[in-house]
Amino acid sequence: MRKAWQIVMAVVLIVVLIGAVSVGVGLITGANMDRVFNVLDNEYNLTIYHEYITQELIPALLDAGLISK
Amino acid sequence: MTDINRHNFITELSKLLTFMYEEDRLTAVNMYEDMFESCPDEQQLIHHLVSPTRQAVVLARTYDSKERMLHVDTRTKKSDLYVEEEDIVPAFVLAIEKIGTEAQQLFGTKAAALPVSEDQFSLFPAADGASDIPTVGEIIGETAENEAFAPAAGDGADVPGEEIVPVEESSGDSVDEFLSEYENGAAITYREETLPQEPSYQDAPRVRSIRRERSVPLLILYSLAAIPVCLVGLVLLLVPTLISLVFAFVFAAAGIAAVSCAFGSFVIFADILVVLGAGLVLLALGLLFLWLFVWFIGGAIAGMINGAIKLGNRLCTKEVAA
Repeated sequence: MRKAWQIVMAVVLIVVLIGAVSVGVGLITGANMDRVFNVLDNEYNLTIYHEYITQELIPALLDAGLISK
Repeated sequence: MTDINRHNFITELSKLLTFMYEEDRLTAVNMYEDMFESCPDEQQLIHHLVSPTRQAVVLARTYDSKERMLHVDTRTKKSDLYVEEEDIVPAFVLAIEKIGTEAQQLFGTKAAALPVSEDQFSLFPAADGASDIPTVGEIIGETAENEAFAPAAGDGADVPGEEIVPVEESSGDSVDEFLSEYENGAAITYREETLPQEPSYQDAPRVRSIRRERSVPLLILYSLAAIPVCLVGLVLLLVPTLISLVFAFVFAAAGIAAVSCAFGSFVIFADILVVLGAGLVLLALGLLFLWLFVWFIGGAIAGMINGAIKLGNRLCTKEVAA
C-alpha cells in the first residue's frame, strides 16, 4: 500500500507539473484568458453553471446553514 | 507441610507463577505434574520440594522475562502455526529438570522416569532387571553432575565427586535467605543484575508443542461488541469514500472535456497549451481522488475488518501446551 501511494503521488505530481508548465508556457506565448473562457463557454455553457452556483446554490446552502460566509 | 497434597501444591504453584508468560507457566506446571507422576511417594517429593513458594522463587530466579517476551513476540508474528520447534531450552525448564533429576536420584526412580518408547531401542536392560549395567537415568545423571560440577579446564584438579558441593545447595541457601527475608517482612527489591548468572544451555535442542484453544463464550461476546462498532466505523468510512469517488468523477470528466476541447475548439497554440495544461491538472486531481477511493475501500475499510478479526482471534484464544 505504501508503494502504491508513492507511485500514485509521483504520477500525480508529474502530471500536475506538466500541466502547470503547459499553462505557463501558454500564458507566456500569448494566450488570452478571456478568449479561452469564451470558447469554453460556447462549448460547455459555463456561464449558466456559474450563475446557477453563485445565485442559487450558494444562497441555498447559506440559508440551510451548511456553509457560512 | 503434611496438610498439602499434590493437587494443592500444583494449584498453589500455578497461582504463584503468574509472572511468567502463559505458555511458560503451563510448561512449568506440566513439568511438575510429570515430576509427581514419576515419583512413587507424593509426600516425600513435596517434602523435597519444600513449598510452592520456594519453587516459585527458584523459577523466578531463572526466568528471563525479556528473553521470553522476545521469544513469544517472534513466535506470534512468525505464523499462525500452533506447533513449532524451538532450538533453545529456557533456563527455567532446565531448572525444573534439575530438580526432577535430584528427586529421582533421591527416591531411586531414575530408570522408571526415563521410559524407552516403542520406536526407540535401548542398549540397557529394563530398570527392574538386576544388572550391573548402568541405567539410562544413571548415565544421564552422572553426565549432568559432571557437566554441572566439573572443574575448569586447565586447573588440573581432579576432585572426587563426594567432595564437591552441589551448586543447587548454594542456590538453595540463597533461596532460603530470600524466603526468610520475605517472611520476616524485609523490603525486597528484585534486581536482575544481582541474580546469579545461569549457565547457557542453548546448545540443547528441544521440541515443544503449543496449540491454541478458542473460547466460544468470549468469541460470542466479542462478536456482539465488535459487529456494531465495525458497522459504525464502516458507515463513517463510507462518507469520505463516496465523496472521494464523486470528486474523482467530476475532476476526471472535467479534465477529459478540457483536453478534448483543447484539440477540437481552439486554433491558437497558446490557448491550446493553457487548456491542455488545465486539463492535465484536472486529470491528475481526478487520479488522486480515485486512488483515495481505492485506498478507503481496500485499505481503510478492509484493514478495519481485518484488524477486528485479528483482535478477536487474539483476545478469544489462548495458547496451551499440547
